[in-house]
Amino acid sequence: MTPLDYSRKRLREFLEEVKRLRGMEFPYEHSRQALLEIEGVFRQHLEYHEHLDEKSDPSTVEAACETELTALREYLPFLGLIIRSTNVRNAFEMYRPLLRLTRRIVGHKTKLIISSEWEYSPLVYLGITFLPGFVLVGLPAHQSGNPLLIPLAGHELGHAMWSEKILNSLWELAYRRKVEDHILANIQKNHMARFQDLFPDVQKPQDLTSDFFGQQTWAPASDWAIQQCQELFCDFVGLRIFGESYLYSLAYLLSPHQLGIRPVFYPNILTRINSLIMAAARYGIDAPVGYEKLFKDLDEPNPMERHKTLLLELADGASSNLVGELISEADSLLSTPDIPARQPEAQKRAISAKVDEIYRDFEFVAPAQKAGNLANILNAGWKAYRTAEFWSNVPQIKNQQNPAEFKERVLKELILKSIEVLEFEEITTE
Amino acid sequence: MILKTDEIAHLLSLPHEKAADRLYIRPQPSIESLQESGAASVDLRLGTWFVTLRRHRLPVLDVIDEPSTETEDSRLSKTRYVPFGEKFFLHPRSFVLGVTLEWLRFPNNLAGYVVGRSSWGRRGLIIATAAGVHPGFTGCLTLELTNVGEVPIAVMPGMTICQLFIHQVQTNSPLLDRSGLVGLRQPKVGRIELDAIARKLAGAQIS
Repeated sequence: MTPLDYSRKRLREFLEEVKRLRGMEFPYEHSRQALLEIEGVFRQHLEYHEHLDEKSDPSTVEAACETELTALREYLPFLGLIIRSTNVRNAFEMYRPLLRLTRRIVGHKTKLIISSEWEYSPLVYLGITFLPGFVLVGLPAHQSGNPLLIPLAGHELGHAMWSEKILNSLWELAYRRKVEDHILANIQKNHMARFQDLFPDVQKPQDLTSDFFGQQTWAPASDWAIQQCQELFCDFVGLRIFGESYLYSLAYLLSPHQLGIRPVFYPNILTRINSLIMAAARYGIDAPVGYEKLFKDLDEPNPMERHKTLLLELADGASSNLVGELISEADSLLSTPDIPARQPEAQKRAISAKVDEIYRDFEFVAPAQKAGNLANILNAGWKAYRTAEFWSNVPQIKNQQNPAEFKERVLKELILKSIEVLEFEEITTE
Repeated sequence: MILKTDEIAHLLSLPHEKAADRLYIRPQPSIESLQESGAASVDLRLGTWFVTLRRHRLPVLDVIDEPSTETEDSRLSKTRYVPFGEKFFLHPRSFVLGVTLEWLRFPNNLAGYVVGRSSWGRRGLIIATAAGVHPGFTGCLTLELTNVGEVPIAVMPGMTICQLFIHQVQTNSPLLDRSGLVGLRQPKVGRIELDAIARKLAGAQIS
């Protein structure tokens, strides 16, 4: 068999698998549509491969096989994600409200797939070559039915917004320029000797900008800082949409910290948390007292890694410098009537009153009605979840063998039913 | 005493201060329609979750040897979600558990029962059989749907499927639902518990 034979075989098997998957029960159509898109692209690959033969130019054949193999490696995990979107353990009730939200903040034709992921951290897949306009969100498999963690999807939608609104605009250039200016100024003002010691190519400050090799020395710090800015922006998006419940769900996911060295693409945890507290104050959201005490920083890189340590310090400085702007940016991009701001004070009081009203319904083990939006339901849900004595007088719950466990189960059911009632009201009043 | 819809409307509209006596039906039926209806029942809608039995894994439904864990339950039954706008096809002689779209919360002085709508019955769809709702019940009601007709029937979440009659309970003592099926949004098979007498009789084999 030749590489072309293997390649054709692989394509046929892949297409056969996609065909089988199309027969699955998909609660929502976007999963099936994604499969159709993928199938169309791989069918084109196969047609192209079938036009090639032993007389074809060997380099053309080789290129076609390389492209096919790369595409298979890239797309097979998406098939897994799409299959898992059918799992009834998922909180399907949240799909439509999240799709509605996604379309308002990312784009009105966006297609959404919500699934579970065998990765601990929630993930979002964007800009997939053959799935333009699709946003794929994967929540940790064991939590995919837990409505209390829905606010984490806000962070993932933040990535979609960043990709759609920031990367495709002059803002990205502006941010990059500010990051670079900060890094250069920081090196020259505070770290020049240390920098020259580590990077001998840089003889004088001008080499940092005018010399190609000089520019490459600090380029990783710039890339890391931009990615840190993106993560901070996504936190602010989650917070701005979901209010306090975002803070609680983040603590549920991350507190206190995991073992290991911090990733360079994120600010360290306490920086993230302090930035969130700052954003909460700006958005009129009450961060829980002592919230930062729930977290600890991850370990910094080994100081023996002197290059990485310095570059990371520069990246951290540059991203921290932009926190204020990123808070404003998220706020301005999310200023729509569907995501009410908690300012001025009267508006904050109105939102609190609505959350309290839902909470009171929950006290009587009844779902919310006219909740207004997802955030109100989730904030009331978190309030009930965190109140130790909640339902302590409800006989059907307090008389259970394990009342705490029973309370949690019923509360999750109640939140999901409230979300369904919200959607029912949206549809029937449209 | 069966409550008329205007009384039901009144109970649904009680203020939060009287929430202990309040009847909750969510999504809530239109109060105006209830006040004007003059009927003695509230229509309930079909919900989005269904449970079917995995017949190939079930040699016999032996209630004395019932599955005892959630894992066993899910091994023997399959849960399906049908979103608004989609259909669920119920073939002749098939049996499926559905659920009301409405979440009910009964105060301690009300009880009720659910019956199918005759318009569905005339088409072969039998819904529940006098499913009782005890005082204090909270959650969605599991419905037993069977197509006894000759042709498949399509049902959709959100369509009115059954009716709820509500009674006043003449007591002040807290009669509370003890079914263990409180606070559920999905249909549930539930247990058949043998009482002390039944357990004795079950063990009375002559060796």
